[in-house]
Amino acid sequence: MADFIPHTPAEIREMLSRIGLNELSDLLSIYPETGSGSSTLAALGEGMDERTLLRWFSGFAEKNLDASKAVVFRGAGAYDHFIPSATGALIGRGEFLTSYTPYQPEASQGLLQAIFEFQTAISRLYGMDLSNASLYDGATALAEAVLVAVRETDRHRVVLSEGLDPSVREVVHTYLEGLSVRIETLPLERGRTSLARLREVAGDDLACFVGATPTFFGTIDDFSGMADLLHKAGSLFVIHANPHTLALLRTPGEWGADIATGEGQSLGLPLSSGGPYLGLMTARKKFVRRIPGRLAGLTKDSEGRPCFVLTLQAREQHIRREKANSNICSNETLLAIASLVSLALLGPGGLSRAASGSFFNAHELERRLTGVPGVRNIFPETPFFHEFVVEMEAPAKDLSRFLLDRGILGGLPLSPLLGPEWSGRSLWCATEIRTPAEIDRAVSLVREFLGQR
Amino acid sequence: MSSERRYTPTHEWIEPASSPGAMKVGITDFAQKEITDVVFVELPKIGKKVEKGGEVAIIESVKAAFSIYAPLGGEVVAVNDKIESDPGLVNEDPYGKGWLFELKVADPTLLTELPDEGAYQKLLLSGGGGH
Amino acid sequence: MSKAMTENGNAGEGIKRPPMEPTLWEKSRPGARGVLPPGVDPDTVTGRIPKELLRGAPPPLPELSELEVVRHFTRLSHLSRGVDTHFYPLGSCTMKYNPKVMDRIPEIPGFRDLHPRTDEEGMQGLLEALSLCEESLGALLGMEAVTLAPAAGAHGELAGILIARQYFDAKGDRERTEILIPDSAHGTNPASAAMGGFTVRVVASGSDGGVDLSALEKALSPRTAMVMMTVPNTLGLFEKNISTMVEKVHQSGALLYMDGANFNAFMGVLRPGDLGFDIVHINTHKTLATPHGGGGPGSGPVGVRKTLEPFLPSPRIRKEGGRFRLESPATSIGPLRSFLGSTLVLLRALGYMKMLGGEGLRQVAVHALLNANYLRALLDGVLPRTGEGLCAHEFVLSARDLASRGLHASDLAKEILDAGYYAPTISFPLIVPEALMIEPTETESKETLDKFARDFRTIVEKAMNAPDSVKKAPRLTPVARPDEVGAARDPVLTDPGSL
Repeated sequence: MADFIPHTPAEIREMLSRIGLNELSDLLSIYPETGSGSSTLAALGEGMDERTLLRWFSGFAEKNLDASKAVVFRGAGAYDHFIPSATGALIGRGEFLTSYTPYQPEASQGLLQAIFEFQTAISRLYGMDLSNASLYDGATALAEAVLVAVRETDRHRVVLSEGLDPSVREVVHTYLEGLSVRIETLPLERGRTSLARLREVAGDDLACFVGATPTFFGTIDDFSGMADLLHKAGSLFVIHANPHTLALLRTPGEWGADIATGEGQSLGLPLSSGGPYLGLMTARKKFVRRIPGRLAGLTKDSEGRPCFVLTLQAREQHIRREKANSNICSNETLLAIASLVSLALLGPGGLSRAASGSFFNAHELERRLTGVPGVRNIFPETPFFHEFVVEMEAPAKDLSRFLLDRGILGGLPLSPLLGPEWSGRSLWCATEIRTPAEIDRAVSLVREFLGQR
Repeated sequence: MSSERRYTPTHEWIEPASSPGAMKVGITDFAQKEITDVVFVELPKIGKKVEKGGEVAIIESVKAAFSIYAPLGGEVVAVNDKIESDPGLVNEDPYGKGWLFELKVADPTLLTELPDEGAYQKLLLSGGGGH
Repeated sequence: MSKAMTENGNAGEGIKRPPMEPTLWEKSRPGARGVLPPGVDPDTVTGRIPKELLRGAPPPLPELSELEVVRHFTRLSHLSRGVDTHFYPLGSCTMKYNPKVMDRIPEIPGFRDLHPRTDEEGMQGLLEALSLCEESLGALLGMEAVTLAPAAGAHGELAGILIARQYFDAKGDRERTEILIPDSAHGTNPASAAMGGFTVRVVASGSDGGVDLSALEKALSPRTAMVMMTVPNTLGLFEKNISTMVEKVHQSGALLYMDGANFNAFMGVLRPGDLGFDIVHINTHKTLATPHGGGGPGSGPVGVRKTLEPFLPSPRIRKEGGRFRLESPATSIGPLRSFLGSTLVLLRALGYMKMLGGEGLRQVAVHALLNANYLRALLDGVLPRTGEGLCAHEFVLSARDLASRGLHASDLAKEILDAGYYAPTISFPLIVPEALMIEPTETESKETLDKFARDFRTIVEKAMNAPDSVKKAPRLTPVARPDEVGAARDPVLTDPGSL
């Protein structure tokens, strides 16, 4: 049995004697005897060596249809992008991997500088003034942004765009459950937010409106005029944006957002069976003391040398306790550094090239799929980025199963998320790493599936 | 030292302001020393109504946050914007340029019921008071 | 960033610090190219997107070669300390060595490259492994149901608090609006309670650092929804009166929550369920083999009694006839995050439990106690300590006597950095003045503890005899003490050179 305890029996005896004890079990005298021990221990088994352990895990892994076994044409919040090889090698360095939150700045300058650079990269990508050091994932980042808006405005009504991933909207609902905030959804029109309809729901009781771009349906939203409308009523404008697409698309900053959030998985993190992911939160400077999460700042040391430090900590739970602006403590620093390393390796040119590849491949896929008789894009007029919804006269779930059996993770069936009227619809995605041959094969299998019916 | 200035056991001071009916509030020299370098003051919104003893502002140092309580009940009618950009004023001049906000006090006669300078000093000597 | 960034400051006599590493933007050379990803030239697609939907200029990201990026981050790593490089006695954080074999589990393609929205048929292996993880944690915690959803300890607390809300709502009991929390608790406890919409009532500690039973009784009322306790408490002490407390809390109709951040102290020895707790979270990144990663990711699974299972976050993993599927019960508090959980972190936890087995996990706890008590004995008499008798996995010293020398616990921490360690936790728990909280963990050798104790003793002597010198520490770190006041008064949070 491995336990990673370094002592020899002689050392243990010496240590016990120093404490004034005879037996290791004497240490347990601080605990009550609950008699629960032995059966638990048996249930947990006798332990394994490294090799056996890895083989045991491989047994589970083999049953999963991961991207090496099923070509991914599915996004919906998790994207199969190119990841540079150097990223994993660098974040695996022990000084990053095995360090704690950098509360001792003198012994954590590398980590602090990396966090500061991450904040910089994400702020510039979103076109915003500042970013925090990460939150758990995109959904929780958005929920926290809505909380900022509620606190900032002291208003208790928020409007979420229908363009947000429905599961992200649900997380916002969970977070706000205990806080008496009314949450409404603003329907899209042809895949976009309507300024006229936003005007109808805006008002001086509205804390914020949350828009999404690209939307869950892949469409690129147009927020023209919305920041002004909201700001005139004293409401905040929050945009939830996919950072990969911001290599090309108009940024939340350019749209006039006050706070912008996103899921950072698309910036160099593997699909990871859903987690851990990377919550991004950016904001305008005026909200600097409102936003949750850690912040690294630039300052000087006592000898005049520029250096980095965690700053504005008095906002946080370890100081403000029940008055803190969030309960967050652990975040996703290592993954933030991974995304920074990937962004640095790609540079602006590489990121734009990859994003353009996603756009190109998705449009190629859309053109070919809608060329199959009986398949149509539900928003044919609206620009989309790398995802789109098609509709056909057959249950999308059956198609998905048909494709999965043939090594393709096809478009996501939408009825489980959006209701039975969506049963013929699925959400397709192609990223820069899809090849023409993979697209050919997916399209011909869809043709075969429909032809069989 | 202003003879009309009164104090609280939580180390705020209050005194009549220049505009009629308004009273100026700040923290004492003892409090600013305890807090150490003030890095940020979260001021109330103008128009906020507070009860006596209710939390009305928060002062932050690097490693702590301190609640500031209203010495008397009333409505916030002015705030010291200057300390937003220069919070060090609270340390440098706690009774002057480092004032926090003005209250329109509901019942100004209650002012004289608060401890005066002498009583406050006695409180400090006895180790009393708190944040 | 300005040129000043790379200047090396005015170090004092005899102080030699390594050169600073310029930022990515300082090193950036326009036109330099790193990794070439698959894709197409942006010109081939930008014409197909309406101009008003495009960003005005390319993102101002740094431009460097791959080798420059590799050297940059390698140099940054040299300016930081981790458990792999230094003893890290950071109390309440359980900075132990995490076996490297666990780093390989998240690299297995079947987990790493699995899309979270794969049809259930395509993720049976994952669901089975996660289900085993729930079972193993349930066995260790003595709880009948476990959720793996929370992304961290504080997220687990929020889950527990929302579960409590839903539980009382379902009973039609809407009077319970308060959560009681000891003053020694982690800051996340009150912050989570407030996020869940509850009013926090703080319960004062007794003179021995434990929960004051009479203060607890006085605070309990029909308004109490839950009492949150940390076990062992944040002073590293096990509450002697725990069974009475459990009884009082349950008599009042409230739920009892355990902040299991200190699970390393009793894993395999005691089960929160057997002690009478209704809800417990643990931090797998503290105890079950996920390194802290500079602040995360972690995960914070929550175990509950059967009666609370209906309220657990969705989705739930269900097993039916050898097949696993996901379900979102209407009674659930709803999803707390996207997808199933921090699965790659959870698989490491499963791997650690499986590798050590029941007895191995128990030995971890026993030796965590051994190391803490041994180091505490070595430091006996150096500084006043909190608590009599044996401690659990950590202990708290107070540097209050150094006030006469004009020094704080934070000054000692800087000397400890110079001695070649990371520093203990300082200024926590709040109820101990000038606290230094030390947690050696079970993976440190006797030799390391002996040396640390000698060095610590020397540092305290130096503080008494030469306090001015201590105020100038650290001397051997890449930078001296930062101006934290300046940083907070006028925050610079992004590189000015990036604009």
